[in-house]
Amino acid sequence: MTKDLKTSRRSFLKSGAMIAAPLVVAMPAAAIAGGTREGAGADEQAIARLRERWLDHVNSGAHAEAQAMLTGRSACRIDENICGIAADYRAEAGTLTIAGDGRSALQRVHCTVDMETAIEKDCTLALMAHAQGTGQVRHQETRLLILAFARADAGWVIEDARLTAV
Amino acid sequence: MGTPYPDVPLYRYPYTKLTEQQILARLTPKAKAGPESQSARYDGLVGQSLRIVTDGGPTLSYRFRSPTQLAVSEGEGRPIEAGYGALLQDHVLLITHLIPGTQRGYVVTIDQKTRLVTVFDLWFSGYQDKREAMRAIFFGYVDQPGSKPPAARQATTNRMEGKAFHWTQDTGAETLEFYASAAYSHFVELTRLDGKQGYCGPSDYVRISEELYIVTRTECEFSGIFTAYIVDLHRQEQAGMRLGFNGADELEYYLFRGKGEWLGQIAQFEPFGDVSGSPVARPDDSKGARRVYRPIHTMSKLTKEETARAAQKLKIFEARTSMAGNGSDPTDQLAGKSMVVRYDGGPAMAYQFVSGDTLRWRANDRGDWTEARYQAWTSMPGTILFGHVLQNTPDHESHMVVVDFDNGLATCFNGFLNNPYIANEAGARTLFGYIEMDGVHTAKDQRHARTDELLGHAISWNYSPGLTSMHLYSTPQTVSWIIFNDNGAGGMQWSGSGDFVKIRENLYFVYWLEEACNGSLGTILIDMRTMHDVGISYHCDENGLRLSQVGAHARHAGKFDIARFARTA
Repeated sequence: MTKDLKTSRRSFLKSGAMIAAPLVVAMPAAAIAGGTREGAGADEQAIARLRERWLDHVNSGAHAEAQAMLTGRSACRIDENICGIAADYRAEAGTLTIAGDGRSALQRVHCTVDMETAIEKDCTLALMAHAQGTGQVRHQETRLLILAFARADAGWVIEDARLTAV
Repeated sequence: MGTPYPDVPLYRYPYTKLTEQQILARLTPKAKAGPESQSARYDGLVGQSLRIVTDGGPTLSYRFRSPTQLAVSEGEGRPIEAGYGALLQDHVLLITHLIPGTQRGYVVTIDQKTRLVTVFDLWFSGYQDKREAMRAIFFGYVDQPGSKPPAARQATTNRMEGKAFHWTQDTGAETLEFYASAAYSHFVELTRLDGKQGYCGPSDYVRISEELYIVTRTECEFSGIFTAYIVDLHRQEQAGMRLGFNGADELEYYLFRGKGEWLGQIAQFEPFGDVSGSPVARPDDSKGARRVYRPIHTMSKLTKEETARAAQKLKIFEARTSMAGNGSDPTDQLAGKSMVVRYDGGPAMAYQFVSGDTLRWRANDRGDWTEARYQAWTSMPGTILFGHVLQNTPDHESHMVVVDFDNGLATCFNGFLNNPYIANEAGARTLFGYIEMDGVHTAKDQRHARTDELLGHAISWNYSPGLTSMHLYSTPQTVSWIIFNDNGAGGMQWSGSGDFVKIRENLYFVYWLEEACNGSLGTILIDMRTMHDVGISYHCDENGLRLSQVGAHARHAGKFDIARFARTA
């Protein structure tokens, strides 16, 4: 809807070919050895950094980069209409659960999702709206973001990210 | 050689594609002589020098030699002798001149109290249609040696939005001008043209003070003429200039003064506190860039043969379009009923409504019954709107019919294709008639009738999320529509011919034609009590012949006082 947003998406498209392998957040050796209280804290920090990086990609319109961070074979496709996710970590559901073996983690985060949908060009008014650069409809939805993490040999990765109804 | 002011709608007039050489040849004598003026020019500049500095735009150094001759330097360039004209409106000066030997010129306004300046940099041959005047706006100040430049600047605004004037200029030209958008204006030429049809053009609105504004209009898609003037709201006066080529390709370059007549103020829909202007985002940062609605260029235009082929692909009330997001559900109240609608000067249409979406029709008691898909909607109690296509008629006709069971009357907007301009563009005729139907009392000597009760009204229509327009009924034959921007500011605007029929108190049947603009016929039955409409759109392009639902929530934006200007003859 706004020019800035479109610009950021265009910027992404230009750089989209440079998407590399899934991002891995390397763990301190102590954390990988794991199990200790300090190790768990390091896991939480690493997961938080990974999550914020993923959200940054989504919020800057770099959907392909955000998608590339999801390593799971059946990972969700990020909805093209999403143009922003504002996480609310204060909500009760904003919990991070790290499995006992330290190999996986699940985080539920309440969030506000900004959606932008193109108005179908099926009438004169819609064509006019697109002509003046306002052919998009924005709305917000409250969703639960569920992030599934896995610890690979080199560190934590995001396997999947799903937005579900609250 | 054409006529200066066409007697056909402007979107039908074949404006000459003037070449750069033709444009320059016409500009050259005026550049030396300056603009004409019926009113006394301002001569208080004679003997003075002025240096105008703008942000990101030209620096202009003037020396005024006489009331009509000046020398101007652009930047560090050498002085150029040129004709000019100036008018003073209260404490605001308007100066205009061309640059000899070029296709360029300027309009400069100076607030003598604040030294603030708005410069309109004008040129031709900047668009594929070279006759269309281009403009770039720069804000700045009058540079005075020893004085610090003022920090403030004039700026575009939405504070003129919603106003309208009847202007009578010293040239004799009378115009209704509606500033119902913050990016466009709508104008009805009462003397240059026949005053029956209104037109739209992109406009700029600059605030000088709460009572003084600068308004521009470029007649894009038509002659391309540019007009700029100072509006004095309290004195109801204008002082301005006009530059461009009329329908006879004559150069019009003159100053004018006008006396105004206030026509009213309608609602604005921006958030309170938002007085920003230029609501339509620029497409890029090139000089003077702005988005202009150019439907004549972009619409699908089919030949008669292509239209005939397209009309075989019927798309009748398929999925709802974005024009019906707030539409009512159809009714099956007509299912199982039969009736005859007899139109004055039109057919007698016999109907058998087989179901809630299938009817059979036969015209004038002749031929076989033809089955057609239809849909119907209720409006005020006792009234129904239904529509269908008359398949296999030579002009691929449609009937959008309001049946008024309480009075036994019917009114039909009869859509047709194969108009003489663009074959797939819809035309319409209005048919008045009565119903013959069991159980319905028929008043054969009465009819629904055309009305001017909607004249001057502005009504916004929210069709679906993100798709809201506003109708402005500016003449008894004109429907203009404005698209809103994200912040509720009026943006692009266009208009076409229309018709207005009163069905009963607070219930009106209206059509508009999207002439030279996608070619649709829009028909709506407006209930001014529920502020909701039911309607049908009729449209043909290469994808087929389509009837589709229209339905929107309305808000009444107000009314302009223009009944005395209505021309119906």
